Amino acid sequence: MIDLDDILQYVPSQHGEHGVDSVIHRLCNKNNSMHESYCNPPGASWAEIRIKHPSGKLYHWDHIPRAPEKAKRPDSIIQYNENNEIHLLSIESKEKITDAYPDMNELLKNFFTGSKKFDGLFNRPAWHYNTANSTPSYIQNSKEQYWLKDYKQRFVYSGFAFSFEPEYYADISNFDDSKWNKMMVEKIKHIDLDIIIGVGWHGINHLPFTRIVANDKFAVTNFYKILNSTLLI
Amino acid sequence: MNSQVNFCYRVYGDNILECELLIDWLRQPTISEFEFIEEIGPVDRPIFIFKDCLTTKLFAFQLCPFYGGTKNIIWSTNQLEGIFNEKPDVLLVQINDKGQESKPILVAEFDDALQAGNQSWQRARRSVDSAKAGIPYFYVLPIIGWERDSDGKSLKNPRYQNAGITIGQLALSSYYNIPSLQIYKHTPWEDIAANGNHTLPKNFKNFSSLQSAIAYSSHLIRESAYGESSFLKPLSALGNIFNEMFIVTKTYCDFSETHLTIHRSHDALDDKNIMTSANHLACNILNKTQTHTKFRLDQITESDFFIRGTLFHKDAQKKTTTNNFRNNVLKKINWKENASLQEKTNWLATWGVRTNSSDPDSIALQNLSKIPVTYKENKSEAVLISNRQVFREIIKTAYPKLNSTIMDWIYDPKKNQKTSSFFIPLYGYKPSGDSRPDRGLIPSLFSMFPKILTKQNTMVLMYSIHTPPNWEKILQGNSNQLWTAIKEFCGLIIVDKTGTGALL
Repeated sequence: MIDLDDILQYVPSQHGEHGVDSVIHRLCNKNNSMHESYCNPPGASWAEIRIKHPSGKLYHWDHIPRAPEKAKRPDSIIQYNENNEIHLLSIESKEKITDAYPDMNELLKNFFTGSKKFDGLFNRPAWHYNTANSTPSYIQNSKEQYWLKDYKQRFVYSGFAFSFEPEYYADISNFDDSKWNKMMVEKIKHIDLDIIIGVGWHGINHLPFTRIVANDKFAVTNFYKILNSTLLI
Repeated sequence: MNSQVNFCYRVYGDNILECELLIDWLRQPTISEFEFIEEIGPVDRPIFIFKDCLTTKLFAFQLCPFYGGTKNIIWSTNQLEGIFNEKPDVLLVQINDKGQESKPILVAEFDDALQAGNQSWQRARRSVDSAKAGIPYFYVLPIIGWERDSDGKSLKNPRYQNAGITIGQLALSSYYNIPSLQIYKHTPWEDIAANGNHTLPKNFKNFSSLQSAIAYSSHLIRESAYGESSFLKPLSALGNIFNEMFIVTKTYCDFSETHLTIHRSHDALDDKNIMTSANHLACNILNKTQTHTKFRLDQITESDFFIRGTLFHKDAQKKTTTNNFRNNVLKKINWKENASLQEKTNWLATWGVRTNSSDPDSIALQNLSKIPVTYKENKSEAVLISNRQVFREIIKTAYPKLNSTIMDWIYDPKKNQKTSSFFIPLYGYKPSGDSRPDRGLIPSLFSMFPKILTKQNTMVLMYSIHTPPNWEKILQGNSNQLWTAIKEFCGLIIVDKTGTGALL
């Protein structure tokens, strides 16, 4: 027999951006009230974005450029539908908090709304859809392909996720909560983001932990409350 | 929570999504016959516990997303070392009760889009590396894709399977007696293609290689746990996967940009033989035998080129190549560059075929054993040259700086060199750096012709004007994948830009 405690002690020498993306991806998929529309960790080349219509139909966009002009393809998109409202959180993740750049908020939102030289996702056709447990079908109707373009009740938020420095704490009591909280609050104001998520790891099995800071506007939404309760570990 | 399991595995991958895809296969209990029990461990590196429905033993699968950088593997064991030159999407290893890892049990690649044109060669080295190391390789890709315009707003043309890649994997499977598999995913594009009367593999709607891949990979896991003879051999699963690969090959080997003249008339791809070819291959692999049948695609030799090959043609753009390469090398090998009767007659005479015929094309096709010959009617990537003496003169004229050792490699007057030279004119470099698809070209050609593309006979001529002048240093550095591929498979490299070369 093989002891799982031994297996759990097999840990990587570093976590970085991959670890951040893995934590967000795995946690968000554990909560059915949210939908992960997109996840593209470093090294991956997944180009399909799936947005859920409030009716339950899942629409697929593919063929999204890797590096659109004056826009940023996010590392993940988390969706929350509240009645007929569609809320989309576009997250860019990086290795360090200092990797956040000034126009991150604008570029992440431009990915949906577009820029001068890039038609954002909202202005592009969804080619396929599927309903629960059905295989995807091609969308014949051009109006349906562009349903999101004129959808009024859609909201886009921007987020930044990073790993703490150092990212690993043998003893989590050595993590300086107040220092990092201050840095995250400053960063969210400075860059005008809706949410910032910091990820670290601790203990012999390198268990992940998170810290989350949101701006006042996002913090009062139900989306944030669900997101916070899902991601805060 | 279970604290102990009978068997433990690690799923290493490029990222968390790729690792999960392999677990998703196991989570189909009606096919895998593994029942998911629970998930434990850190959320970003979970361990999935399954019960084997056939034995009730417990199996654990620990996800290890991200290998690390090229020179910075983040795990204490480097699963790639000595086997893989490039990181596969996912690989699975077993851990013994001392915590030691086995060599990979299987490797998988997941592609949600078909690669266009020469991009399809990109993964060839991973399939070759897997086959050489005796590791089953699963390449999961859609049956058909679709091109879009640059802004993604309108549909252009279907994107088809590249038959050369499928042939390469079938030939590797046969040559190394280890499965190198393509697993076809269904997508809505199939219906659009079918409605538009675009070419699709026969019986594509019933393709079920994904289910067979789940069954076969589950078998490989059990085999690693219990030993080889514990269960029935998965002949129907493996046979089905190969059958679909042969059907895809048959559909696209005489199609569009390919026109693979040697393969399209191969016995293995005769409609009435396809099922037999697939079963022979699956039986050979499962029984660890290598019967020599006419259905083996890996057994293509130079005589097949001479009988069913065709005349070589390759384009070279003026702005990225030298006059010397185009006029003194390529033109001497390219048949289609000769427009007039006189040019064709002269070209044939260069290669020792004298004729007064008014139909030199027919004369050329009747003399394939004497002139440069290839495997593809359209633009081709490589050419077999039987008359090495003439070839030596061509190279000597174009690159007078090359020393006699290099010249003797091409043709040694003192030796009786009977085998042909397999010559690969390789672009190699774009202005921005080495060409990524070209990294896979040579392994891809090797997989199609493993008996021909030997180090003793294979020569590369890198012809891009963007080739770095310090190429020899890069070659010796052993870190650039383009050059390591050249070094692994070829015996001689000549670089047009510098007029120099090296034996490898």
